[in-house]
Amino acid sequence: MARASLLFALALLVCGRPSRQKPAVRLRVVSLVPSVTEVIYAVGAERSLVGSTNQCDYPDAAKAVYKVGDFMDPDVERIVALGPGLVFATLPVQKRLVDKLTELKIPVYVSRPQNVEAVFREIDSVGTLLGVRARAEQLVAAMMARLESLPRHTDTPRVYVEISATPLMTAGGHTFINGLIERAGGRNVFEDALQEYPVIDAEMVAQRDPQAILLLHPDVKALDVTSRVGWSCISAVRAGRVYDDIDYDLFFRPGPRVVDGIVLLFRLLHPQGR
Amino acid sequence: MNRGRTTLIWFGLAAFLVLAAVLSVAIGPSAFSAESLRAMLALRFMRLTLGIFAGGVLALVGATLQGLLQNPLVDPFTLGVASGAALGSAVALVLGRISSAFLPLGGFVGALVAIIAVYMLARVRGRVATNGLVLAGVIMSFLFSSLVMLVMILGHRTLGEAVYMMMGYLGAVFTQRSIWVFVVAMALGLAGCVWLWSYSRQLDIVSSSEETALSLGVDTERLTLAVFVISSVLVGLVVSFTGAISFVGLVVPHLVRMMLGPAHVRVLPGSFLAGAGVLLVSDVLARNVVPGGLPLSIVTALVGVPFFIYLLRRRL
Repeated sequence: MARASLLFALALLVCGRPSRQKPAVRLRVVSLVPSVTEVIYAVGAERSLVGSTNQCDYPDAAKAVYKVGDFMDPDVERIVALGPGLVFATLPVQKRLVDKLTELKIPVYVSRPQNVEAVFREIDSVGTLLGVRARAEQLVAAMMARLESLPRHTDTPRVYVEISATPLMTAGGHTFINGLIERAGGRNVFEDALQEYPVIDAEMVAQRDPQAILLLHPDVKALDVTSRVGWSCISAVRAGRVYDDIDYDLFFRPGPRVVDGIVLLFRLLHPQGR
Repeated sequence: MNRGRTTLIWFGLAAFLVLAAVLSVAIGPSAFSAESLRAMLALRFMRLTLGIFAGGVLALVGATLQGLLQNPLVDPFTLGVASGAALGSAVALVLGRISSAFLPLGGFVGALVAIIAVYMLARVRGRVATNGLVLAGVIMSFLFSSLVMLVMILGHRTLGEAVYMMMGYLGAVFTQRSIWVFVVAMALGLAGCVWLWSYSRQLDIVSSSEETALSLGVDTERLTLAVFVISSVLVGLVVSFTGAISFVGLVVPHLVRMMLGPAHVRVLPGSFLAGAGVLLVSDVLARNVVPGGLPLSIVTALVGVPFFIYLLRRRL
């Protein structure tokens, strides 16, 4: 709670004087979150970015930024050595690191947008913090306009998202991607799951009979799924609506490409209404 | 032993397996519905087949190893053979994404390396001490489990997958192609079981005493080597499909010996039947008690560990 109010205070401090000229000394920031790294590039603030993780690989230029370790386990010493004025992190994976940085009095911004609106708000705050608020507002406006321009649809197909084949794992209702599916006019067949990414049984998929299957891991191709024993009765398999070769970063990174993800989903879920 | 009683016990074991099979097909996380009936039956029969194969083989191999090594505490899991097989499968998985056919091969190599390493570790001045064997098995098991984790992390696999590889599950999804790998593996596995069974007489002699075995003309070295290789093939095959499942191979042979006496000619097939039944019941519990299901070894360990402690205390 104390940390949250600290962050809030920090945000207020920066938001409170938006229209003054740019600060003389540019803020040095480290991004430990691939989606935030994407936001930083999208709002044109990449010159502030002094460190990122091995997973921050979009846009291409981000690959060249100094790496402080893996997203799951960034190296505190390398972060501190960069002398950042602000670190972007996320929870729960980076909990211990966030505690450590707070202890070291390094300002931390915790990024954890749970839905598309939160992504818009986050782009605004990142833009504000990095002194490029106008660019951020333009970006958000463009993204919103694209969302608005999606055509109407009449059907709501049932969707099964597979994120691992051994064991079978899917995304439940409390996940970011679930929100995207709803936005794109679909319904996640495992939206009632209690866990975020539950392990499931093949028969649960068969019983829920999805009309579209999205393969969001590299292990199997659509052809493998259509030839799975016992899966031939599933509507998606019968209709040939099993999709592989999808850039799943679009669905798992709550960043500036999220609307691309929704548009892609929309096309997959409503192939006739294009 | 009374012939009528033996027949009754065989009948009981068979009935237990049939009952377990019925439970396994009838109870699952999803209810049957008219549209999904065929798919659900197909999936549950696959699971049933895998369960019978895995449980039967693990228990039969456990019974064989207990007899050969004259050690009531060994089974594919406590000897580290199962985790060795899991490591072999993990390596095959990470290296050869092209074909699932390499997983059983990797499992076999891992299991064989594990069983030989453990045997050599436990062998001091030509003798293999009972507790030394289990200790060596546990140590190697730790090592192999850590290496499975390492391989999975280096190979960018999910931790969930590593957990299920080390703790076992029957939810493997088969495709029209990989089902043939499974059919071949099953045929090989059953042949291996029969082959081990053919050593029953020699196992009887060895488990009474190694000296007697020598004087009766049993080539113990050759027997040991043959059993190790066949067991490794069997455990490797099973683990590559189900992951490492604990304690079925330990507990079941003891229960069967209590019922059918020590002769391996009866203990081995008895263990196969009972092991298959026990694993199916464990699986019914594992997938129905907690929503979403549990790795199998959680259930088998809850039953197996108390029994293992009992055996250990009785020896001390």
